Parts: sequence; C-alpha cells; structure tokens
Amino acid sequence: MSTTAAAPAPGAATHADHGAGHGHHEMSFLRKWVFSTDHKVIGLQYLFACIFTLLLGGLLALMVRWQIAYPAGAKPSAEQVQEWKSQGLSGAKLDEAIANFDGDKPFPILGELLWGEELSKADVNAGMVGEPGLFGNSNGMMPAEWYNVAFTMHASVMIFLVIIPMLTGAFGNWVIPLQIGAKDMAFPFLNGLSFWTWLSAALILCLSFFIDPAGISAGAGWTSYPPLSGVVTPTAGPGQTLWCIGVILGGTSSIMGSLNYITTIVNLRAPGMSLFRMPLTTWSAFITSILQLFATPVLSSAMAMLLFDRHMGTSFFLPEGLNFSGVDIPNAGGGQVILWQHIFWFYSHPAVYIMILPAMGIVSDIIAVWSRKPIFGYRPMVYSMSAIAGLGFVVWGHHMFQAGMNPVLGTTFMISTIMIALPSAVKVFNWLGTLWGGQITFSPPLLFALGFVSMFVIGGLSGIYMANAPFDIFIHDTYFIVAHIHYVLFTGSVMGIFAGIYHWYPKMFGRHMSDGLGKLHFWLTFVFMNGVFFPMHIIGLGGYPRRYASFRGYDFLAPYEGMNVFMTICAMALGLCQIVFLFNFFWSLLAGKKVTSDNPWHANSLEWSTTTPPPHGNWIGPVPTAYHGPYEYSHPNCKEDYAPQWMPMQRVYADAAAPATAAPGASGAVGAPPPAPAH
Amino acid sequence: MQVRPDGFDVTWKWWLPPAHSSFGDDVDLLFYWIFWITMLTFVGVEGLMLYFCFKYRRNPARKTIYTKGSHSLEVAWTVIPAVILVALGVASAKTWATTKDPANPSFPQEFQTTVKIIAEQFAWKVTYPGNDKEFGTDDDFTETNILNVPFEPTNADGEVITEENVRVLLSSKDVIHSLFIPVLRVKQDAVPGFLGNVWFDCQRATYAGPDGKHLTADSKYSEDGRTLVDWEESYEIACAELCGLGHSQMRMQLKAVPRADWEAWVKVKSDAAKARAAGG
Ligand code: HEM
Ligand SMILES: [Cu+2]
Ligand SMILES: [Cu+2]
Repeated sequence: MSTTAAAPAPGAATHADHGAGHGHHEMSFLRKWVFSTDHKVIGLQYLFACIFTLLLGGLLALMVRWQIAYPAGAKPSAEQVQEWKSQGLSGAKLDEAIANFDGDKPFPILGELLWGEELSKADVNAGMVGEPGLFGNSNGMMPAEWYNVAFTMHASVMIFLVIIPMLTGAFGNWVIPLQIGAKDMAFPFLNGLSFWTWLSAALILCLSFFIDPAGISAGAGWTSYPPLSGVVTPTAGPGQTLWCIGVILGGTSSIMGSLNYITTIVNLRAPGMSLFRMPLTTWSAFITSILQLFATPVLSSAMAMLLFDRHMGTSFFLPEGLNFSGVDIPNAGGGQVILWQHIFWFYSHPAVYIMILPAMGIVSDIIAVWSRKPIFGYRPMVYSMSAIAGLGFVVWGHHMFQAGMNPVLGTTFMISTIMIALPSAVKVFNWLGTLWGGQITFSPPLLFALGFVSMFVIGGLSGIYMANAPFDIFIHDTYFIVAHIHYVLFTGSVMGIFAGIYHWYPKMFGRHMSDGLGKLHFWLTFVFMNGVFFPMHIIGLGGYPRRYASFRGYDFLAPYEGMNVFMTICAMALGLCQIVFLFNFFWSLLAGKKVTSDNPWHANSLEWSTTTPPPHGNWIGPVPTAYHGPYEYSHPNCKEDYAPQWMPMQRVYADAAAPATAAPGASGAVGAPPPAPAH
Repeated sequence: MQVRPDGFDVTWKWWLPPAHSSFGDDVDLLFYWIFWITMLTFVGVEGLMLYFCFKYRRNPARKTIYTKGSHSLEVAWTVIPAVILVALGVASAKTWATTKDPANPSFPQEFQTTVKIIAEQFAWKVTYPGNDKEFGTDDDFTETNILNVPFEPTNADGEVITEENVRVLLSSKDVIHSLFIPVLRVKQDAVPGFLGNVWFDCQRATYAGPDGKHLTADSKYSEDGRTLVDWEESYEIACAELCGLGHSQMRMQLKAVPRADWEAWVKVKSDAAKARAAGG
C-alpha cells in the first residue's frame, strides 16, 4: 500500500504488480473500509454518505415546500365563513371566530420539535406561551429567517453534498478504473484524501445549523450574492462563514478528484483501450473532470474573497456607501457587487453541466445494454458532450440578464445560451436512435434511464424560454427557474443516479436488488416528481417569485395557493416513496438474491469481466485487453447478442454457442488466450 | 370560483398575467413562438420514445437492427434545430434591443417622466423630481412603496396617441433587490454602488372611466369629478432578488393615471416639499 502512495503515477506494469501483490495479504478493517485508498471502497463511501445527505437535503426540501404551501397567517376560507354564518354567527361573534381562526399548519412532528408547541390561536390571543423547541418558539411555525436557511441549505446540500459527489465521487470512482481496465486510480492516496476532504466539508455544512441558537445557518441562497452574504449580519452570521469554508473544502475535494480521474484516464487505460473505445460513462467522467478542474478554483477564489470581505476588512464586493438599516459598513468602498456574479456563474454554469454530464454518460451505457443496441452515433455523443462543456464556459451571463449589463453583451450571452441547447438536442436524438429497433427490457435501470431522457427533454426545452433574454427578464427568479432546475437536476441527474445504482448494484455488492420494488420505486417517483415540479412552470408563468417565505399580501399570488398545496402534497408523497428505495437498497445488501454470473446483464464493458464484487486490484491477474468498442450488441455475425470488449470478436463468433460469461475463465480472457478460432 | 372573505377572487390561474406595456406584447409573442416550437418538439420526441418503447419491447422473434448511427441523420438533426434556434435568437435580439439598447432606433427617444428608486431592506424609496423635473432640488419628494406614473393612452387599434415613457433610475443602499413589475414584463436589479436604469410605458390606467371600463385617451376622466383617492386598483410590484428576511414583503403599488391627474398629484406633493424645505 505504501508503495502506491509514495509512487503516485505507476505505469501499467507496476500497477499490475501492485494488484497481484495485494490479492493476498489481509488489511486491517480500518485500512480496508475507512482510510481506504481502493477506488471501489472510496466510491462506496461516497455512495453511502450521499444517500445520507440526500435524506437531509430531501427533508430540507419538504420543509421549504411546507412553508410555501402553509405560511403563517391563513385566513378562513369563504366556505368556512359561510358555514359559520349558517351556524348563526354574526357581528362580533363572527369577527371573533375569524380572529381565532387558526390556519397555521406546522410541519408534521419536526415543526413542534424545532419551533415549539403549537397553541391554538385563541390561546395565543389569550397570551399563553407554549414549550419552546430546539430553535426557539414560534408556535411550531417556521420563522421567515429559517425559511431562507432551509432553501439555501437544501440547494447547497443537494449540489455540493449529493449530486456532484454522487456522480463524480461515487460513480466516477467506482466505474472509471473498472471500465478502462486499470487496477486503481493513478493517485490512490489523493483519492482517499479527496473523500475525507469532502466529508469534512459535509460536516462543516451540517455543523452550521448548530452554531447559532436559532439554527441560522447560511441564508443568502446557494448563489450567496453579496452584499447580503458579504457583510456579517444576524441573517448572514457564523453559519454563512462556515458555509464558505465548507464550499471551499468541497471544491478542493473536487479538484483533487478531477486531477486524479484525468490522469487515470489518460495514463492507465488497459491495452487496446483507445479513447474511442471507452464507454460513455467514462467519457462523461473525463469531460466532467476537465470542467471541474478549470471551473472549481474560480469558485474557491470567490469564496476566499467573500471570507476576506466578511472578516478581514477587504471590499472586493462591497461598494462605497453601503448602509444596512442605518448602520454604515466601515470596510465598504471600491468593490463591485456584480463582480461576484461574474465569478460565481463562471463556475456555477459549468457546474450545472458537472451535475448532468456524468448522468448522461451513465444513461447512455444503460440504454445500450438494456436495448441490446450499439450506441447510435457514439462519436457524435462524445462530440456533443465536449461541445456542451466548451460552450458551458461562455454562457454564464444568462444568469445576469436583469442585472444591468451592456445590451450587446446580453445579446452575446443570449446567442451562446440558445446554441447550447443544440448539443443537448443531439444527445436526445441519439438516445432515441439507440432505442430504435432494439430489444428493450424494462428493468429498473432502463426505466430510470428512460425517465431521465424524457424529463431531460422538458428541462432542456424550458432552458430555451430562459435563454431568450427578453422573456427571461420576466421569468428570471420566478418558479419557472425552479421548475427548470428540478427538471434537469431531479428528474434528470437524480434519475440517472438511481439508474446507475440499479444497474451496477449486482457488481458492487454481489447481490441483486428486487426488480419489483425497483419498478414500484420508479413509477411512484415518476408520478409524484411531475406532480411536484410541473406546476412550478405554471406558477412561474404567473410571475410567482422564488425564495418567498409567504405569498400572503399579494393579490397576484393568491390564486396559486391551491397549486402550492398540491405540489407540497406531492412532495411529501415523493419523499415517502423513497422508503421503497431505501428498503430495497439496504435489505438487498443482506438478503438480496446472490448473483450467479459475473456479467448478469450480458454487458460489454470491462467492469463486467472481473469477479463479483471485484477484488482489491480489480482483476485477479493482469488487466484485460480491450479488443473493440464497448457497444457491440446484436452484431449480425454473432450468435450471442453481445460481444464483450475483453474478447476478440473472432473468438466471440466461435464461442457463440457457449455463452461467453458462463466460462469461468472469462475474466482472465487475456491471460489465457483461447485456441485460434477457425473463423 | 373561489372568493376570499375580503372579496378577492382566488380562482386558479394557468397562464401569463396580462401585459400592459408597449413591449409586453412583443415579449409575449416570443413566448408564444417558443411555446409552440417546444410543444411540437416535446410531443414529437416523447411520442417517438413511447412508440419505440412499445414497438421494440423485448421480442426474441424479431431481428434486432444493428446500426451504429447515420451520418445524414446526425447532420439533419443538428442543422434543423440549429436553424430554428438561430431564428429564435434573431427574433429575441430584436426585442432585446428595443427594450435595452439606447443605440437601437426603436428604443425610446425621449422619457417624459423620470423617477429614482433607491431600494433598501425592505422598502422602495421612490423619489420624484417634482415640478421642475430636476433631481436634487428643493421640490423633489420621496414616497415609500408608491410608484405613480402617467399612463400611455392608445387608440382602439392599440396605437400610441401620446408617448409616455417612464425611466426609472435604480439603485440600492444595502443589498441587491430587484424591481419586478409582472404586468409590464419589467425586471431590473437594484444594485448597490451602481445607478442602473430601466424604462417602461404603461398602456392601461389603473382606474375605471365613467362607464366602469379602463380609461382610454377618449375617456372624459377629468369631467368625471374623480379625485385621485378614487383609484380603484393598482398593479403589484414585487422584489425578485433575495434580500433577506423581509424579501417577500417588499410589495409596491404601481398606479398609472392620466397625465393631468398625475401632474396635479405631483404639484401637491412637490409644493409641500418645497414649503417644508423653505420652512426648515
Ligand atoms: C438545454 C440547455 C439549457 C439551457 C438553454 C439553459 C438555460 C438556462 C438559463 C438561461 C438559466 C438562467 C435563468 C435565470 O436565472 O433567469 C438557467 C438556470 C439554471 N439552469 Fe439551465 N439551461 C440548460 C440546461 C441546464 C442543465 C442541463 C442544467 C443542470 C443539470 C441546468 C441547471 C440550471 C440551474 C441549476 C439554473 C438556476 C441557477 C439558479 O439561479 O439558482 N440547466 N438555465
Ligand atoms: Cu447557467
Ligand atoms: Cu428582495
């Protein structure tokens, strides 16, 4: 192990030795499962940690939704008043009934735990005070400042602690070396360090809830625009500082990870594994890593500047004359508020692609396997991902159309943004092309992959509305944007993550998840997620602003109360039906059907060539050779409908009668070349 | 139909709010183009996907089509969307220039009214230049959360009779806020340290004429004996950029009134401001 850490970039040969040498000796539990440098273990560490953070982020989302649907101060409905009247109430009696009407609905269970006992309005009017909760006492209702915390931390957790680490940390780690035929990452120690750095980022972000007695963590939105975030105030107190530190650490982890993935993919590919024989999951991880490597340092520097502004008297983002409610900000002067937005979006627009490209790769592989077809337009798929990545660096201004930029610049950003929809469209058409004429099996991985494609279409199309600057002016910062985000990130990326979990689970753990539960999970999720997110387009068109703790007081928002309640009910149901997934995932670890083949899906890429679960060093013996591309499904000259990458095509023809994977030597195909086929 | 006790109709709404600015219809037209293009694409793509899922579901008796792609298809489905997207871009660029680019001929040549809004946590301070139409003089006056402007009368065909372009100079004294006027399709950030500006015209007055309909240029509003307190409705302005605790409470009212009424109101306020300045 120490050799690996000390000699970080071993060539293929040393690497093979390393693997061979480590098949035998026993490692302590701590070394093997906790401070591991094995990419698979690190991948699983990310996976398990992210399932936990997903629950946290989801809970915060439900609290956000609850607040929007049931903010404090509800008035009795017309029907209710009518009913009181028909009961004979009138005059002062009726007024009293209206005054005592208690329309407040605290979040189930948690509401009272966090914000105190719920008292009836009559008791409150009579001056009673209930038991306080963990974060104070507001009659069980979420206070407005905590609402800001809830949506800020929901987004931050989902982005920095769920989607990015899940896609790049868990899948990137676990899949890349196995798919390219490497024994491990190029820098195994750095890989472990990256995980622990990320975990400390996660802990710091979680800690930020408990540093203030009222639970005020960061509350300036995940975009944290200064001056709101740049000046220490009760709403942007120590929690905001911890948030900045957490994001810097998360970014550092990303930088380490991406360096590692790029080096690994460039240097450690198995014999025969040319770049254009790599499966698209690996391609997407490669392109994503390049994006991450270039974009993340920019975010970290922005965060550092923000920290300096907050605590060290600089004023990168604070212009002269700032005055918060009568208090002058002493260090303000000379700074540019808009500078932050440029720097932030220069990272964060590429970041949204960091959050979807890996899912696109995963989905591509899954569609090929489960429809038994070569990827339609493999190279166009690679080129379109590259185009998305490249264009992704020149569109950031579309988040700032309303900020007051030079109109010519606005036009430029509008055109580049409109054009970025093009490679996305090309990808969708190629997925359709892959399905065309295939043999489609509706397994849970495929269902989720199709869910991804069909929902990504909605997210991509809604992007076009927003790319058109004059119309974006109207929908910017309304729920239309929230709908867009969630169609690409929840119904997109998260579907991709689920697809990947169902697909690789047997290889990861040597057991199968339940198919039936997987399908149930898909259909429940599919229905409820649309119930939550689709109506957001509609209320967004009505101009409903995002990040509003309450719609009360606005005539133009009142009509959306019913829809908000509907979305919240769907969100609660969406949250609940994830229990099906959790049960399936954890129960199958212990009691799932044991896999009987190393390649249960008859897939082609190298991760299916090794034993299950793959050993330390990935292959017992030398790494396999890639003889051809990863998508040779249903080749007309093969009897079998797949031709694994690790076997020469000729051999596949000859062995057609006997399924290739059933042969125990399949994983060692390279080490023991088969007799020359007669073909 | 659902009506709140205070008389407000809270029937569910499904669509854009009405547009009352001269460029509002252009913006909405863009929306309709995008709407139909994306709807067709949506139905086409999802339909095809469902059809493939049905037609190509697993069936060992059917021969699988082995193909790795098609050059001509790739070209087709790159070029056709590209053309559509570029066309959309060109159409958008035109509207964008009208609303944002002073160098563009259709950008207003003249602003009949200018007001200055300095946003703060959590209110809009609207300064009017007063009778002399100049900022920084004694007769300026400042209102909180009240934006009154002259409305722009149009004839039955929607043509402008008298231009009434309003320019808002916009800044903030603390954090970023954003002036959002849904019915005018206007949104502009109020950025501290930077005096931004945005313009609009409001083609629909906020109170009814003698026949209960909204005022037009022909309405005989001044003989009607209406006083300015008789305003019947206002357009809502919201803050669209997270600005802290009271973000959702930064509500302002926009009232668009006939110029004569507006000038009368300005005169009263401006004279009072001047008197105050002279007295103090
Ligand atoms: C089809 C191509 C896409 C286009 C044309 C597009 C366009 C846009 C535009 C113009 C905005 C800014 C809207 C505004 O704030 O006014 C935006 C916001 C956003 N987009 Fe996209 N988008 C596309 C795809 C994606 C994808 C694939 C993702 C993520 C996986 C994504 C994630 C986001 C997020 C998270 C925001 C909101 C950021 C925030 O304000 O909090 N978009 N998109
Ligand atoms: Cu963007
Ligand atoms: Cu605000």
